[in-house]
Amino acid sequence: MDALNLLMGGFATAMQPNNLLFALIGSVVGTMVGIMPGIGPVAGTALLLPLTFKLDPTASIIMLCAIYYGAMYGGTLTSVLLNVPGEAASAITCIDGHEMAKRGRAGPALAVAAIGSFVGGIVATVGLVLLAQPLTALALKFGPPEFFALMLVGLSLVTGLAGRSIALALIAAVLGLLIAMVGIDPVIGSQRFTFGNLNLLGGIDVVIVAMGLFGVGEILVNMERNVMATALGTRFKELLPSRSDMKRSAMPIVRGTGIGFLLGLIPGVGAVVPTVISYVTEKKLSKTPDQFGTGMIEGVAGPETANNAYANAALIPMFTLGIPGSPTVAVIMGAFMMKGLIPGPFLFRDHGDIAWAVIASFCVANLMLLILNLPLIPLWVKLLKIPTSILYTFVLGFCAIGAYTSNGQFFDVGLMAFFGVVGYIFKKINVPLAPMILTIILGPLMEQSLRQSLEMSRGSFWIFIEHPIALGFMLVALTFVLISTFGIASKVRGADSEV
Amino acid sequence: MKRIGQLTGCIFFLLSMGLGYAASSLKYYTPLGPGPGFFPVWLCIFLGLLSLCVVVQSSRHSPAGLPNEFFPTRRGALRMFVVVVELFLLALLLPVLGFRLTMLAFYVITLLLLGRRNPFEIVFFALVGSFGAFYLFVEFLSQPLPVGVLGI
Repeated sequence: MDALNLLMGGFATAMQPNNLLFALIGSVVGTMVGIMPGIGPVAGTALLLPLTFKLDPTASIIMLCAIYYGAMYGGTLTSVLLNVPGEAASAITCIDGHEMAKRGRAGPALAVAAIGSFVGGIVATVGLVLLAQPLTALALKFGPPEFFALMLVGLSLVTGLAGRSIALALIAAVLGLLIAMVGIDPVIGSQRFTFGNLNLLGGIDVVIVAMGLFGVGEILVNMERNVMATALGTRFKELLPSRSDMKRSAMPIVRGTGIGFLLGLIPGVGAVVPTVISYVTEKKLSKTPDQFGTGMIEGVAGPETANNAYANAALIPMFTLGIPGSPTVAVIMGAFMMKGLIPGPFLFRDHGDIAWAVIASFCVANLMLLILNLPLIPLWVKLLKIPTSILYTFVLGFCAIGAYTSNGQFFDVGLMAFFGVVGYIFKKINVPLAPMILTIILGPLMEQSLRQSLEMSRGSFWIFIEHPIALGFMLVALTFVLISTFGIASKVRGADSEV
Repeated sequence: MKRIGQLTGCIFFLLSMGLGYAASSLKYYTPLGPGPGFFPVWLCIFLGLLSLCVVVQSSRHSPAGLPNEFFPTRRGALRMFVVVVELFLLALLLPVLGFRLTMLAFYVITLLLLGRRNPFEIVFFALVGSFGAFYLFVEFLSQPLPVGVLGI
């Protein structure tokens, strides 16, 4: 009941005209960004950050979260209409969504995706409301050893973001932690990894790294391949789904919500996993699994719902524990920190008004996306016809503005270019980028809790064994690493045997 | 991919050695507890070990050949090179020429590089991206953007 009252207070703030306006702008701009092939939600959210600098913290975070949802939905449009996923999580939607579009059923596919996304988003937000207080109360009881062990769980889950090699994923994670060490040590005040460069004294901003790795890096890959998306000739025979479409989509939406929500609670799973699991589940439960891939609406409804339920649920670990669940959430967490807000249990205690207003705005933004997206489909289709040469030029320009305005340093523009090159090379050699972003955020928190723990124990590592909750978390972390290691090892063996 | 994997592992190993050397100059332990070098030293050790794992893993499992389109075409490589140089030049020229002139040049060069040939189109988009963006950020978003020595 208490949570409900606080949520109502949050709605009162979120429904203020200026906050509604920023949620609207965020939803529209986010969808635009999501539509543009090559610019995923991470780069999109990072490069649109400068638009929020002037705003007060509540409006700023509301707009960023709306950009995030919009970008997630925008990816669906390109998957269905162009067969090019705007972001990785929408890749699975290409299979049946584009087949539907080829038959003139793009409207029902997009409508079902929008409805599923809305249901998934709302249910996940309700979950956040219900879980926020118990999880926060639990987290407030944690001391430094428990927090360090919890961060270790987050780090171990990074192995879930591993591509073919856990070692490469862990290397990316360690590099992120090392990047987080750059600057002035918070306890002693000595310089670390600055190599005498005064511009590095303040550390390296996660937003600069995200824009470089995901924005510039992605554009470099596209420039190399000269991939230019062609204008589509999709026919729209109908826009709204029929009663039969809705009936067939109902259960996939329910299952997709459950899958996306549960996986969103686990940091580091990544947005692709819930969509793939949902698709596979729908195919297995279908009476006509052989029809999947030919334009089955269940193949759109389930994964798209799971995608948005995941996107919303991934914010729960950030709000309650201060652990970013995905790279985009890490960028949003960076934005929180820029505004002087530290996500985690203290956020609800110290800035409860902002936290609940942002949570309430999730419902508002999801509703806006549902209402806006269908009538605006013709506009999005026109947007898809913008030549990529112009699009990429503007994205690079915006990245440069974003890098400069985040700290007012010219050096950051060069740093972003450097990380762009790093992103390009890492993509080539299969080093996953997401763990790096996550650990840049986790790094300082992890180091702080480790140092505090060892100060408490006068240097003894037994403190992590003596605290039962910390021990429990460490065992969970170990289990995740072992599962991932043996899971991938068996996949490699399987692949070898197939060859 | 085998050679690439081995090379990747070796480069990361060298990086871990270099960073480890830098971290070794930091205080490992202080009277207050772990010092600023504590975490970085262990991270570098971990990075070194992981790099060796990558070398071993690549030697055992990776296929010998490279995937299709691993290397860019000459034209693609040139495009990427120019864009990266442009971005580094932006960092150097923004304080000298100011946002508007630097971005104007950036947009013209990038649009030409990416194959746009219509001069009116190039001028239009370059003006939007430079003078238009300056107006948007400074006037509407109150974000200060650099003005150069010419006062533009």
